[in-house]
Amino acid sequence: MANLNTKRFFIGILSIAFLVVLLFAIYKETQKQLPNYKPEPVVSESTRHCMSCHDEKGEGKIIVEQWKDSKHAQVGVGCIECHKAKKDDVDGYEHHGDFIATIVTPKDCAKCHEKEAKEFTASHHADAGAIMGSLDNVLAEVIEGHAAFNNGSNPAAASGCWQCHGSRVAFLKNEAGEIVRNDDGIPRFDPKTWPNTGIGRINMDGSKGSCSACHNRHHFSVAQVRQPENCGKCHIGPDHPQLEIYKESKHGINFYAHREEMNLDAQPWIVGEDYKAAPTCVTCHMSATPDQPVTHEIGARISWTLRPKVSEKVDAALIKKYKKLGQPLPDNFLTWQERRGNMQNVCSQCHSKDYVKNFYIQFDNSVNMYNEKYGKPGLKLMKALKENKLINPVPFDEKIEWDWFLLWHHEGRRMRHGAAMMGPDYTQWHGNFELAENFYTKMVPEIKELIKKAKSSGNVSGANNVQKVLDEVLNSEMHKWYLGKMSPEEKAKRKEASKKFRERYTH
Amino acid sequence: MSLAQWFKTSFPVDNEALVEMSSEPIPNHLKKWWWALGGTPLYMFVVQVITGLLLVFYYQPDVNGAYDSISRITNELPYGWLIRSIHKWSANIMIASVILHMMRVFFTQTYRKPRELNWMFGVTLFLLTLIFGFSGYSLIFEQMSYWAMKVGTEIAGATPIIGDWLATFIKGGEDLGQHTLTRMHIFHVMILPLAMVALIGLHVYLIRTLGVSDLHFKNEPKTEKKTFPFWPDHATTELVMVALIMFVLITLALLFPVHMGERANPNVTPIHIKPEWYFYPVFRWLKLTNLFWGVMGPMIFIAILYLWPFIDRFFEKIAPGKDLSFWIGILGTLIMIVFFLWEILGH
Amino acid sequence: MKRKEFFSSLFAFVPLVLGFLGITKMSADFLSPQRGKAKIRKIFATSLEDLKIGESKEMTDLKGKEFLLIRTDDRKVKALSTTCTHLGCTVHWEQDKNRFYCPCHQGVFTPDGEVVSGPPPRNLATYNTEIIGDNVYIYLKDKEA
Repeated sequence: MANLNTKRFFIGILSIAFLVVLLFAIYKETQKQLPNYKPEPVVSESTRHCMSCHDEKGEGKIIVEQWKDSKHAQVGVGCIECHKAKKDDVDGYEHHGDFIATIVTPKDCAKCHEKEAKEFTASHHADAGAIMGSLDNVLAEVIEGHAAFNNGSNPAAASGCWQCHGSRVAFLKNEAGEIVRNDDGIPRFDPKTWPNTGIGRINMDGSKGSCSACHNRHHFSVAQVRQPENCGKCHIGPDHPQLEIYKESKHGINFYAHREEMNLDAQPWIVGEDYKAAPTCVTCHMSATPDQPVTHEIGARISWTLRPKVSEKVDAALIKKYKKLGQPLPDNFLTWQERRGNMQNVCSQCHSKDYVKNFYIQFDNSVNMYNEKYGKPGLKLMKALKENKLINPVPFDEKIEWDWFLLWHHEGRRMRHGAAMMGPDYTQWHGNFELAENFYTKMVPEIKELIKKAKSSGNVSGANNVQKVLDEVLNSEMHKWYLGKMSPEEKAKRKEASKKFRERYTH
Repeated sequence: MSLAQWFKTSFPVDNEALVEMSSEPIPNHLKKWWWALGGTPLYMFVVQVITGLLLVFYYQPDVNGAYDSISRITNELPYGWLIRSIHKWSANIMIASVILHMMRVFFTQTYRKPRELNWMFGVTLFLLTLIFGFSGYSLIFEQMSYWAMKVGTEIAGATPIIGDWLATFIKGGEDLGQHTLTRMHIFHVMILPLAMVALIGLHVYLIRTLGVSDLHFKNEPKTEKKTFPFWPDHATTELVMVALIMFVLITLALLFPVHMGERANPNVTPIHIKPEWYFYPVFRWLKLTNLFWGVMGPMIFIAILYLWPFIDRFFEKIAPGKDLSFWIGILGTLIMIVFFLWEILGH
Repeated sequence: MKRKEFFSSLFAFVPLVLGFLGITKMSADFLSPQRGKAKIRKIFATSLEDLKIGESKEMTDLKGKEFLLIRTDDRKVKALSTTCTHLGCTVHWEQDKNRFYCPCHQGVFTPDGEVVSGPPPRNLATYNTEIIGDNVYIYLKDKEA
């Protein structure tokens, strides 16, 4: 046995070794705290079973690779945990020893994400698939396309509308009405209904919507979800260019300039605390502030509905909807003031109270002006044309119907959205300018034509009725300039301003 | 009076007794490193109490939250991975060193009179350590946790006479569920630690009162003194062990950190189910026998362990000087090793 | 001899003690929850429609902070914290006695939140309010200064 000194020496050496490995432990800890650190995926036995074909043998290898990088993999949520089906599930089938369903619906996600699924299902997003009977649907199925084309494949809807709004998922059936299966016994989906991640998809298990409309599988990355382009899959284009407006706005400019500082992977992701460079779509419409939790109820911060021909406050529309359905208002129903308050809470994280106050005055004024100048008069005029039989009941067969549609559905919406999200080019050149151009160079002359035609074909009373409405509209305060009835004072003022403008710029 | 005087009168300490205790003469053979195997499990127990105390701040003994709370410890909390890995490795080392310590005592026959009772305390400590391992592992609520509990409670249920009561007692009801997890938690963090502290106290008390038995090796050099003082000599030996163990634990935690396994799923039994390594011999035995002998076998083994001092005395009587105990010990060890390897290599 | 012993002991025990100190620090990090910063946040409380002059309304924000709103005038709303400044119980507003009463240790406050009797050391905390249009906003402090 060693003497005391030798033992003390060994204590020293071993203690130094102890300190050294402790330093390694500190190093490892700092590595872990780095934002791009990813713990190892937890591969359950059932997942390994799936991987034996779907990873090694190549059938959907990327799916597995993406999953391995996901948060789901870290917490042991693998293939079967999401794809498992109950024996009585309509869309379930036996597959190499497991009973599974291909499509994972909000009902399945709700197993762990109950709050989000509940909020989402109650929201307007989940209702997106219910546009089936609307004019837009007629547009796709009859006017633009042909629903019956190639055995009812309805291409305009299947590749167009339903890809954002959601299809009604169904299995492919043969003439005898039996489900068609492939060689593996897997039931085939009706191709017009799947693939589809429309946000209001109507699933076979009765649930509404698709979580993967926004949460792309199989990565399920929060950074991906927070990108403006994510919402821009659907909220884009001539009838509601939210993505384009955002990109034009200062919010968007800041986002793209400081993207690296946006901390998009963080959880939680609270504006003002975890990031401060700019808001994205979800910042204002869904994400957490220091005072509000994340919500999947997309209408919880919206005060106006900018969609219809004439805008109204969002709760008025909902109150009407519930009344029509004969249902009581839900317990947590928010008034438009409360919703605006929620949105203003987000604004206030960066902006002062007067700033926010003034913005909302600007916004309200734009929407109200649209309503009064174009929305309500246009509606009145179209109603008069229909009631007095100056146009026939077939939709979209006469030019005036297209112009009216474009007025409220495209130009009117663009203007309102531009005002809502501070994209002035959309408010002005894609908005108010085109509204005026449409109204004065297309709609008004066409109505005059229709009146003339009606008179000459014998519908004199109808024609007069419409003429009365037209006169009323054109003589109103905002339209009377068209009739040369601008007040002399105003004319003089404008002439003066125009002169001063020329003086300034012709030097 | 001064502060020091006040303290001396309020909290009397017999300095002389302290000095006497710390300079207790330790027999020379304890200078050999084999004899550090007794203090090692004690130190590991201290490590377990401290790391366990840290872990229990965040662990949730709830069937829905247990796995996630441990996932949080392992992946998110600062040094959580380190504390958990130390806890796991320290458990393994504790069990290994207890087994080695038992073997040392067995083969040096220091269980003989008057130390038979102390040997039995020791066997109890060994069983407590195994139950510690079993109950601790069940708390993670991974697949292995759940199915180990399932099998373990079934075995308990197959015990003659008290089986049904025992199984229900462990499970906390008719089947495995939240009540089982709550019980495992209580056993692991309260009942077993208290039992262990009590038994360690008894074990050390007997060691001190009975003294460490004197041993001589054939080729030992003749020395003047047959003993050496506890302080500072033996104490520094112990400290070398402490420093070594800390180094080994952190290294193992760094090189082989503990990860999350698959979440418990009562509907799916994993194809390759295995208990922890220290149960391999029993596991292999269970695969070879029917349920009755599967349970009776280990029970008989434990009974033999307990009664060994008396069995040894019997062997000494019928075959004096033939060292039967030694050869039976070798045989027993070999059987254990064979079963252990069989379980590792087979499936 | 003594000095050699001293240094050999130092060599042995200083690293060991340092090692244990390191472990202690890691354990402390492990146990310490993230600490937030004291801040003020402005939230929407109610609209003037829902709070008549002279009326008071008890509310809780999303983080569980309780406060009382009192509309004292057409465009003036007072906000008081209903957390007793003694040991944190919630005070009761007693309409008939025109006072705040804390049931835990019988603290009493005036309607303005001033301590009248009992153990509370400070007046009830007040929060700034602001009225924008029809909406009443309140500036909540997360950490008492």
